Amino acid sequence: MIKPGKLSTAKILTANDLHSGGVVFATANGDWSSFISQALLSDNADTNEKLETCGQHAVERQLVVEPFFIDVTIENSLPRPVRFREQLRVNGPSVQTAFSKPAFREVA
Amino acid sequence: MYSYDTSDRQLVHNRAKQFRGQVARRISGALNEDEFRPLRLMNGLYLEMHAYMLRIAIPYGGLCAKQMHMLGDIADKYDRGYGHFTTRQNIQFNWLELDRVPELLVDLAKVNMHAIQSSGNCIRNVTADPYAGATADEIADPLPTAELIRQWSSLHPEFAFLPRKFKIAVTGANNDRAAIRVHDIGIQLVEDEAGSPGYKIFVGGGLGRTPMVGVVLCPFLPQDQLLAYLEAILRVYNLYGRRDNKYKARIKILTHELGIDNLRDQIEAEFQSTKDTAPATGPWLSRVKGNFQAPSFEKLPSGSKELDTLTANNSAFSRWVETNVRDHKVPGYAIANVSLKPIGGIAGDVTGEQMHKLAKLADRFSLSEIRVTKNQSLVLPHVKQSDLEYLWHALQLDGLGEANSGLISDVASCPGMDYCSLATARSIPISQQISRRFADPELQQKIGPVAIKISGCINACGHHHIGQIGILGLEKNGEEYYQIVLGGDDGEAAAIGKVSGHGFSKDDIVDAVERVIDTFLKLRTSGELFADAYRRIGIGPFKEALYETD
Repeated sequence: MIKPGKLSTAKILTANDLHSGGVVFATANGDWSSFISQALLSDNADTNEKLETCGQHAVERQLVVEPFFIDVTIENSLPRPVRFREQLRVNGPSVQTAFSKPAFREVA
Repeated sequence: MYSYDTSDRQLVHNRAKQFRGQVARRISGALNEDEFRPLRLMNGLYLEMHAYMLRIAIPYGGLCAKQMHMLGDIADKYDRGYGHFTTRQNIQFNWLELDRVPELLVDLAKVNMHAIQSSGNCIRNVTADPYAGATADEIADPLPTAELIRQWSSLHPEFAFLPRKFKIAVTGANNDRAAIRVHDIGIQLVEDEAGSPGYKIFVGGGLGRTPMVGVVLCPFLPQDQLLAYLEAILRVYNLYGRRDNKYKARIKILTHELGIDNLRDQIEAEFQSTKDTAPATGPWLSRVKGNFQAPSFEKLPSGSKELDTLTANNSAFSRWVETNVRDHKVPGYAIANVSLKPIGGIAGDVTGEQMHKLAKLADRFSLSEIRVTKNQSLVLPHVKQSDLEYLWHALQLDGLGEANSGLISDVASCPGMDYCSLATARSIPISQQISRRFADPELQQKIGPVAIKISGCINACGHHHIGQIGILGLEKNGEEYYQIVLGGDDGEAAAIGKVSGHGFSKDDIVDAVERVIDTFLKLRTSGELFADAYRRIGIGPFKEALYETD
């Protein structure tokens, strides 16, 4: 059961990829992406429910582990987690910048 | 070093094979996460913030060069090129993929290593004095006893599901470098008045959210009764330890709630009723001792004129010898501490390339032996004094020659919120800032030995309670803040530090530490150590300095 969180704040659904363990986000087309820019933003009960279903299916299909909602704000058109812990999950360790993660998929 | 036999090797290979099957079933969906989690944890595999983390057991912190080479291979092949040595004398790899962990465990088994019992409510990896078998101040080498306990506790069917995790530490010296008084069971090798070998047993120590110093359970236990007595302790704990509240489940709580006399009576009764059927320590210990290959020391003269000349002529080398080198029990040899705390670096982190270089240095200079310390550094235990200068140069070239062992920049730190899913604040950046603030070698020498330890949450993996200056990272209203605890001690005068007062923001904590140090420098008597000054003047002057503007 995924906790829906408060409806008063915008949120996205995140989890860890079963295989890599990496942080992933539920997208608008029901997939999972490691780029927060592709996360589906929810600010209403219907989208929350859609995301919740997406999370449950992904768990059942052995794609992700323990999906949960996080509260976000929008900065420069990107979701930014409210809690510092989630900012670290999204950006990677603050102490090893070589391992930091981009928000966008790089275009070749 | 201990030579593993066929059954040891078979055990780790079988476990690797078994885990391959468990991972395959998880990936296929035959096991869901709730079913898989306890299985992966029994193999030391955690799912952390950014990836899977594997905690590999290093029994009593002892590695041979071949094993260090393998850890270097694993860092490069499976991780992102580095590993992290922990305060429990283990190593963690932070960037693993689930699918590849079984293959990693097979590689690890090739050098008799594994991750069994590095997690879960079982008897964890036994720890020991990193100078064991090398230091002049021990009455006997504690490693055979530590290995005996490793063998006895590995996959022990009765103790696989204890109320909570259980940690045992062993030392053979009065000078406690294994922190035995803050373990569930602490064991010190002692002799009775007739010179017969035995053990002094401490129980009920521990850190975490309820830190306690252990108390003496048995002042002298004859050597041949060790396993029977340990079984009695574990049985009483298994029976009476609380399972309704994990925060009250450690044996320290049972010790506190029953009282040591009552607990001792229960253990003694259990011991008397089971000692005849318990595993016999004597023959087992003899067998273990027989499998330890004694280091092949050369006959060398005491001291080294060459070393004296070199230290007199090279101040940087002299400083390293003074801070990082300790006396060895064998004439002509020395114990060399290898700091994994470069200024501004991450405590305990070593690259795969550095691991290979360390392995080569151990082969060449330390009879192939390496030890991991609870302070997240390494020790080359058997170095000829005449080789020290060459070793120092080599370590310098590899970024491992920092002359700060035991000094203020030698900060112990858990991974904190940069990696750990339990953490409430980051600890690594604070340790880096402290290291940079006090980087000046002259200043470090002036301050003298002081142990700073940082934890990123109340679980205390950074051992902040027993730091002379401890720092605990917490979260308040979404912000990181840091409490200072003062006066902790992990040695024979073990003490839990006292909280100084309210916490500091991440931007203020390093200034606060500096105020503590400034107060010490102002109030110390000539040559007085931080620990001694704290005991003499108490926490008052430090609190005044920390909160003078409040």
